[in-house]
Amino acid sequence: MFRSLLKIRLLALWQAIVGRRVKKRSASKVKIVLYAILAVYIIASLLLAVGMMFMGLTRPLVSVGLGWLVMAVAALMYVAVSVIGSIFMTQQQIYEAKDNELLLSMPIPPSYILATRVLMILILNILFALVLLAPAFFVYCLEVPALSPLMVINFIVALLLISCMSTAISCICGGVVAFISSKMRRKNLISVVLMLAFFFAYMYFYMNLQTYTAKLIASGSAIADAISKSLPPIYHFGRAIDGPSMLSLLLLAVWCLVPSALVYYLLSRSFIKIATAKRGTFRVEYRERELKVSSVRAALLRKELGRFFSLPLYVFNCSLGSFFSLIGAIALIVKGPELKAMLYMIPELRPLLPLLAGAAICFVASTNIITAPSISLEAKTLWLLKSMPISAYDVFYAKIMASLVVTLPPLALLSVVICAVFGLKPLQWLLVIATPLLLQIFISLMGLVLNLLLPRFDWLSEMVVIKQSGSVVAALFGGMAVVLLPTLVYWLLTPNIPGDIYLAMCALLFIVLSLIMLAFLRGKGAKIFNDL
Amino acid sequence: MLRIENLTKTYGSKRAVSNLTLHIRPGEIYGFIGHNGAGKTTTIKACCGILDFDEGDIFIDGISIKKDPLECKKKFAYIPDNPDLYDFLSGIKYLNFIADVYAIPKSEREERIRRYSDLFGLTPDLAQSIGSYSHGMKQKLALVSAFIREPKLLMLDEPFVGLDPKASHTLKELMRDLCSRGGAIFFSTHVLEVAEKLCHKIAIIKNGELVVSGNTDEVRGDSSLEQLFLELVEG
Repeated sequence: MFRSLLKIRLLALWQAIVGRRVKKRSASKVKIVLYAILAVYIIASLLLAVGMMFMGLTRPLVSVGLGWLVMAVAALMYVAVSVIGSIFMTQQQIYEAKDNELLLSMPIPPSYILATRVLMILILNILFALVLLAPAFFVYCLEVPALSPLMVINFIVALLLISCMSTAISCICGGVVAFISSKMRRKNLISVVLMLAFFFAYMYFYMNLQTYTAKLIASGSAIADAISKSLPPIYHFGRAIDGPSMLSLLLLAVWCLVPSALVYYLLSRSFIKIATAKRGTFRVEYRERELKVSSVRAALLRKELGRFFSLPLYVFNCSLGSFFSLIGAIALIVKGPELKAMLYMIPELRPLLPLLAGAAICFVASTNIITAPSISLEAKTLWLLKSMPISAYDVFYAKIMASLVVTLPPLALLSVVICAVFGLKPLQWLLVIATPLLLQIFISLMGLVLNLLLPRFDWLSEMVVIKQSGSVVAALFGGMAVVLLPTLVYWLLTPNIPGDIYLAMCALLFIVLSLIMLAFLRGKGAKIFNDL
Repeated sequence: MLRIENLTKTYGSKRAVSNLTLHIRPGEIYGFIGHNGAGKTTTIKACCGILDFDEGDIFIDGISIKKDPLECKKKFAYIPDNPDLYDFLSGIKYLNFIADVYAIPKSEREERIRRYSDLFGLTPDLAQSIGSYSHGMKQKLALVSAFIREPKLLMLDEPFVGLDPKASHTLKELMRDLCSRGGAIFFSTHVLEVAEKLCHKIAIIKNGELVVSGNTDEVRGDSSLEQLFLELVEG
């Protein structure tokens, strides 16, 4: 029974990562090879990025006898990343799982249900550990003078132990998030704020990584002393591998397993209460008010915006460019003069400023892919649109407009601030503002076209569509390609064309591409939608 | 009001509906009965323009759904067996959205929403998000959204599933009322007692083919509808 339950959980995890496959529509070999290449590329990039991060850190610390600190820092980063990465999964899988009541009605011991859920989060955390800790350990192995088999064994055991600890912390944090959101009316807002806070904390950390590395090398002993005193499990993680110390491994086991067992015990005691708790049932009594009358298109647009803002994952993953635009604009207002002075130190750059600014804003725009999952998200509610007296183009119009309403104002703001900060000429203002907006229109149209060609209605969770569906991946890479290719062409082939003229040519290209997409949507796209 | 002419729909090599012909006239409540997988939902979805079909044609108030789907869709309301609505909208926002799509004038929409929501006992819950509704409440909301359009034709797939006895009674009354005003209703059901008492006409379908159709009394004869259905389906 336990194995069957665990199998179902693992299947759900696997489907959440790679998506659900419909047997009837077997994927073509080319598609499988492309997905495999993409997966290998993503994993290799991650491993390489982490490995590179530790390259600069390991040699100086190993040379002064602080090799354990390398692994301790890796462990600290891993715990932070895995906890942040699995909080929402924990919240959904343990505290707000949709099948809790169904499983509790079956002759399954509640402890089995809880154990399989916790095990799934542990497996997820071990996967995080393999991506973060394995490359760090590999770099460490290259630098350490005498590598012993015991070090490798201790690393594997320590990795499993620290994963137990981060799972316990995830369970606590997930519970706290579930509790807070159950007390709030605007749950979605809380989720978006938390996601953004974690994301920008991560970005801030990553952008200041070199400074932190330098500080770590410069004051390694002091930091090592602080870690050994205040973070014993992290300290023993490093020592267990670097020693290799069996005593540290034993102490690490105590530090990781005792709190984990305690968390599991507390969860198991209250699992039925957690699983059957009614959350977020704020009852609002209806009071009749005057109803607003709108046109069909306005009603459809409001519906699209309603869906967009109701899904924090959708907001966070598909309109990242809007957040970047707003934060970029504020940062430029504060730090703009400094940046301008820095860039003006290179005289060759001055005539290229409009082009550089346009390319940078276009790159930000390319991460706004709101339309790419918008058809797939209809799924079970597609019958509504198809049974209403509205044309396919009305549906497309609402989806494109929803995307533009969310993305164009922040992009325009960023463009205006950039133009003002760098004191561009009036024509340059026009180009720097118009080009990214035109690109955004094209990306919105392209996202919709891609979703019509690659729809996905077999999802169980919106996350699968928003994060992993083919149309989203294609729109993200396609959008970036549309920005990178003209940039590369300019750099490699046509550097003599004045920047302003090249930017105007790009704007023209985006208009032409948009018209092609629009023609497709009006013709074949409408037919595809009607046949869905 | 609804004319299905030689409808044929295939899924791959399987014939879901084969050469089906039915006429539903104004003022008629037409019950559509069949075992699971008989082709009832496929037929209703084809009538609504949700599913394309291979042969035949469907006319709503004399207009072909193939040739002018938008004009046809203005004339009917459809509710599927499991009404998945927009969970992110509140009940009232959903009803107002439907009213916008069907261009119901302001004063009429407010009055109709009030009337039908009261009849189904849904008014106090209209401010809640649909995601928090039970299956029955979603079914009631879908019904309210259908009735506020005051359609000429109502197509319902298993409309009584999930409804409490009072709501079932209300629905039956509203169905009769719609037909008394010249409307027509075409609905599928497994509840034979309801079909027997409510429908002017019934059609029984088996493996995509029409087995029998006509006035309820004539089709049933001296036996009960349940007996007849079992004989036809098992025979």
